[in-house]
Amino acid sequence: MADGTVTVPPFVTLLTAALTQQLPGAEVNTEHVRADRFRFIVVWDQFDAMDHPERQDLVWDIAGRELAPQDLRNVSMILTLGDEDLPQS
Amino acid sequence: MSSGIFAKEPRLRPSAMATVAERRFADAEALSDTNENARANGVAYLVGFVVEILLKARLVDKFPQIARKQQHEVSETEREIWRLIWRQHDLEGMLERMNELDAALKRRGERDGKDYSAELKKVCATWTIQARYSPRTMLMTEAREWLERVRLLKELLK
Repeated sequence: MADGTVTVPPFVTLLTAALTQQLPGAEVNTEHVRADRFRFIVVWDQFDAMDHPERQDLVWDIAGRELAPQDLRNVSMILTLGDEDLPQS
Repeated sequence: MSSGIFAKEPRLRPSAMATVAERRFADAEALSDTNENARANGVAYLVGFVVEILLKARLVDKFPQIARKQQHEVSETEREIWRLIWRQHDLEGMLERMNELDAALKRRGERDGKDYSAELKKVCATWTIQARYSPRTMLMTEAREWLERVRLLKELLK
């Protein structure tokens, strides 16, 4: 493996798929934070109609259902952005 | 009039920081009590600030030698922690350096049937220092929700 290459653990693929499937139309990106920990960034237009606590409850409910407890600990953050939160061009 | 609050504290003490966090939380409650949406951003900003102070207090407690150093005394390996304590407002970065906190929250959560670790990450994922400059206005109902979440979390972070 080349230096600096990060192996993506299965929980990242699993949660990405679950978020994409359960939030239709959402764009899910991940960033490696350190060790086995990853940050998820979810952009979904329907977040625009939700306040931030509701958005966070929604994505963490999905994570809680889909991931084992030891994998949940490796989710650093799940950032939840609506279209209105993105920089306007 | 004293302007001492604007002077940089030469040394951060976790116990004093916990006291400051309680005062800022009381400020947030006072704003919440106005019931005015125009004060909601202030509530949300302050409760996030409470979490920041308490996370920094834990970092200072964990890395007292680094926290005491002046910038020019900090080694390359210490720089990241020193910046988290003295220069940055990176809640996620602070959490990342305290795996023992996450583990303790998990254990406590298992006992209470709640996921405190996730609750803390929810607040940390949302709050940023940029809230200071946001022209948008939050509703007080949302701000109160953050207030109540932090009311519980701050007790676990002390």
